[in-house]
Amino acid sequence: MDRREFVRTLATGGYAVGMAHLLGVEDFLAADDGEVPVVTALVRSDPDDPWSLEERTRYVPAEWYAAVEKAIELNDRLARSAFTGYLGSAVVPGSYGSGSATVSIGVSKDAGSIRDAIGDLAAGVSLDVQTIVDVEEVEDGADFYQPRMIDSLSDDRVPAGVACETPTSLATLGPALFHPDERQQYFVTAEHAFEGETNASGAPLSLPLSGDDPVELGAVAYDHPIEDVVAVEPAGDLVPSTWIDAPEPAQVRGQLTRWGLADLIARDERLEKVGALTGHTTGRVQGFDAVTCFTDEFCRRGQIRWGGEMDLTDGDSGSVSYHPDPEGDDGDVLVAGFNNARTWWPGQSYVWGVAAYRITEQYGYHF
Amino acid sequence: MTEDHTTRSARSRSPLVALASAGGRIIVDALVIGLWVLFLTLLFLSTGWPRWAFYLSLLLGVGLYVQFTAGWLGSSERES
Repeated sequence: MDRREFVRTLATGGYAVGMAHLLGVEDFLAADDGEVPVVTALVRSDPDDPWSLEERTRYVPAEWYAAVEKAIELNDRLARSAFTGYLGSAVVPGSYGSGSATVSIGVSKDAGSIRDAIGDLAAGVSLDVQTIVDVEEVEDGADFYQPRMIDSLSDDRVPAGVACETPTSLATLGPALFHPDERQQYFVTAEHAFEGETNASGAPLSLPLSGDDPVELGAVAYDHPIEDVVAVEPAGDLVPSTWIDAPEPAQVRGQLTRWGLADLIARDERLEKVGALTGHTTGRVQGFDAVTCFTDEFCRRGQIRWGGEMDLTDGDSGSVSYHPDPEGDDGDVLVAGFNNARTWWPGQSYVWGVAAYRITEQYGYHF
Repeated sequence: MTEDHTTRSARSRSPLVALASAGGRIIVDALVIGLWVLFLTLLFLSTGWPRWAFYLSLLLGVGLYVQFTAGWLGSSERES
């Protein structure tokens, strides 16, 4: 081999390896036999720069992945078909070892016929059909809680997990929500806290202080009734913060994806939240990609189910559920989604709310 | 470029022609190797063979390609 050939081999070899990297071969070559990579979270590489989002991947068993994928598909078809008596459903992945997934379906009628009707669709996915009774009856919680309020303003950044006030009720303030197109940050809370207003858009949101008069945060710039989220543009000196006012202060570093939630369920991990009334609670994740048709005349999609009835009460709406960032510093957390409502009927016990991945997919916002 | 110029360069290869043929070779190399990488990627994506096998066949293919093409390129160069 002469010198020219040698140089050519080196150059071409380097080009080939570079090309292979550009194609992203490492993503699947690095996986062990029978494993596939999934994106579990979108995380800020620089905590202070909200636009520095990076994907975080994890390798999961291919068998489990296929089962969950199938369950997601079945759940999606159920939501589209919206047969009579359908009240909602959710994807519940099994543990990694089991390599299985379940779709949990809530129905209002005889469960047997439903199982027959979807039997064909459900090949390979186990079904958990639950008959729900008395959905109509909303019982009002008699428990009395003192809302968590900021004493006085020492900083122009308002942490999440404290009470905020709409013209008609009280809710919990979420952490800063960002929109990449407008490069804008927003205060967020639940849309239903503006109930009674003809249109939430333009309505003011204020921050009650236990030691002072309430301070106005801004007016609703965007309202999303189906997702039950409003984005409030900061009007005064106060800006939203990525900090959550938890017993151990937590800083939001990003958000979990659909597969990030599936991973938490497979590993039986817990979510946490800080509500203005019930405070800090934790609970197991019970399902993702959930559809809920319990309230209003439309179905809400892309919901998370977690925890139990006791984790939420009126006034906690708008708080976020989160999980510690396994690769981040102490106190770094990733947001799973919002908390908007909870079960009130016997047989089921969970909190639900729109997942962060859903509002990212629908509108582009991210934490 | 004049008629006279091109006929003369067929034997002695003016720098311009040499440059053009080198450029053409690089483009052909890039294309062939690019296709080889793409083929291997798709093959390994569907089979799930291990990482070392991917890089081994990648570099082996490059080596063989250079050996093979050096043969006919070298002979054509010796002619000139």
